[in-house]
Amino acid sequence: MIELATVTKKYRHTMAMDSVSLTIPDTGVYCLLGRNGAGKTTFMKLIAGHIRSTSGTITIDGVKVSPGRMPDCVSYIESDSVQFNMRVSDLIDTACLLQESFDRDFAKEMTERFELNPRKRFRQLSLGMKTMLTTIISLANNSTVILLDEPTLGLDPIVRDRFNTMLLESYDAHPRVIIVSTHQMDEIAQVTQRLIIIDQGKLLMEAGIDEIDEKAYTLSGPTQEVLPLVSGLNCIGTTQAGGVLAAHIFDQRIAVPEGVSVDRLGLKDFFINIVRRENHA
Amino acid sequence: MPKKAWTIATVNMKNIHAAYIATAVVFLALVSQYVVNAILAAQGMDISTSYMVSVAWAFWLLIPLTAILVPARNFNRIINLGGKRNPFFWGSLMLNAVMAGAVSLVTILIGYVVDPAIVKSGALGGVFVIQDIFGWGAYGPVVAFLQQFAFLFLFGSFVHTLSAAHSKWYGLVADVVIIAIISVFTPIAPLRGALVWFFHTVLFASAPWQILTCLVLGVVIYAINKPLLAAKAI
Repeated sequence: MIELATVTKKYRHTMAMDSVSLTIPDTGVYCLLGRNGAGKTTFMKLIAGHIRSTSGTITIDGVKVSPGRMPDCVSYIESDSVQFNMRVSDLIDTACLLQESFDRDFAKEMTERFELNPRKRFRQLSLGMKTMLTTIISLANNSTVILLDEPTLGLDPIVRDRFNTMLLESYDAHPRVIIVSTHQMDEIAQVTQRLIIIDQGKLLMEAGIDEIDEKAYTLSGPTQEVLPLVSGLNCIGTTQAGGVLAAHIFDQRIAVPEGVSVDRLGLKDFFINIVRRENHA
Repeated sequence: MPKKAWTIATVNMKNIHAAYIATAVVFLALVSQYVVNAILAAQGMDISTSYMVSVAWAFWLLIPLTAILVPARNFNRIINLGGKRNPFFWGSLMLNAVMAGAVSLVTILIGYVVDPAIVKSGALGGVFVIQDIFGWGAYGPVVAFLQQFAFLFLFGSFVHTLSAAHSKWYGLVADVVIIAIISVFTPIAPLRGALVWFFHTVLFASAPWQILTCLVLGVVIYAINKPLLAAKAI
C-alpha cells in the first residue's frame, strides 16, 4: 500500500531522512517512535505530500506522491497545527465540506465525548483540547491512510486513555493504515499492531508488537552468570549495578539457570536501548 | 471540485479580518475629511475649491490585502482542515474575482450616487472620483464597473502570485526584478515608453481593449500559481 524507496530529505545541512526504505503493505495501527528531531514529522509530511523528498520515491497504491500530487487518500494534520480562529462546530463543518469522506457523525460524537464546547473558538481551547479537535478532524476523514503526529500532546492521562479507545473504535469502524507518532510508548502499545522506529533520519526497525513482546526481555543476575548467556544473543543494552548485570535482549527466548531472572522489557526501555545502541555504534 | 473551491473561497473571505479592519480604518479616515469640511463649512469658511478623496478608494485596499493574506496566512490553515492544493488554487481565483466584483460594485455605487450628491450639494467641496480619474465613466456605470473589475482582478492576481512566491527564494528575486525594471526603465526614454504603454493599456486604454488585456493578463499571471503551489512546503 505505502512504499518508500531510499527516500532522503535534506534541509540545507540537516539530513532529516536518510535513505529510508519501508513497505507498509496492510491496514493496521502503526506506532512511529523516535526521539525529538528524529525525523518523524518529516516522515509523515513526505507521505502526505506536504514536502518533496530530496531523492527516492514514495508511492501509495502505486501512485507516486509529491507536493504537486497530494494524495486524496491520505489525511495528515499536525497536532500543533495552526487553525482558523473559528468555533469548534464551524471548523468541523468546514472540514466536512473540504473532505469528501468526512464522517460528520463520528466527529460530532467525539466532540461530545471529549467535552469540546462546539461554541468555543479555537484560541479559547486549551492545548490538549486543540490537539484533540485536530485529531478528531483527522480521524473523521475516512481516508485509507491517516497520519497522526503527536495526537496525545498536552492530554492528561484520562483523556489519553479515551483517545486510545477512540483510535480503536475508528479503526474498527474503518480499517485502514493509521500511523501514530507519540512519546507515550507504553500507552500506545495497547492499541498499536506494529512499530516503526526512526532515529537521526534513519529507519532503525519495523516490527510487530507481538514480535517485540516475544523477543524483548531482560536477563538479570550475577554478572559472571549472565555474561555467558548473552554471548550469541542480540543484546541491545546492559545495566550494571554492583555485581548484578541486567542485559536487555532482542532475540529468541532461552532457558536460564537458577539465579538468573527473565523479565519482560517494556516498550519504553526497548526503545531507549535500541536507540542508545545505534547512537553508540 | 467547484464545491470545495467555493468552500475555500468563502472560508478565506470570512478569515481576512486584518484586511477588513485596515479597510475600515482607511474608510473612517476618508470619511473624516467630510466631517472636517462640514465643520469648516458650518463655521463659514469657503471650501468650495477644496477637494476630498472619495471614500470608495478605501475599498481598493481589500484587493491587495486579501491577495497577501490568503496565500501567506490562510493556505496552511486550509490544508490543516483537510483542503488540497488544487481546490485552493481555484478557490483563491474565485475569491479574487468575487472581491474584484464586490469592490467594483461598491465603488461604482459610491462614485455614481454618493460622490455626485456631495459635489452637487456644493457644501463640502469636490471629490476625486475613481471612474473620473481613470476615464472609466465614458460609457456609463456598467462599463465603468467592468473596467474597474478587470483592473482589480489583474491587480489581485499579481499580488496573490507575488505573495505565494515569497515562501521561496524566487519570490525575493521577483521583487528585485520588479524594482529593477521600474528603476532601470524609468530613466531610459524608450524603456520608460514601454512602462507608460503598459500602464496606459491596463488603466486608460479604450474599454474593450483595457478589459480584455487586464482579464487575459490576470489569468496568465494567476496561472503561475499552479507550479508555485505545487512547490510550496506546508
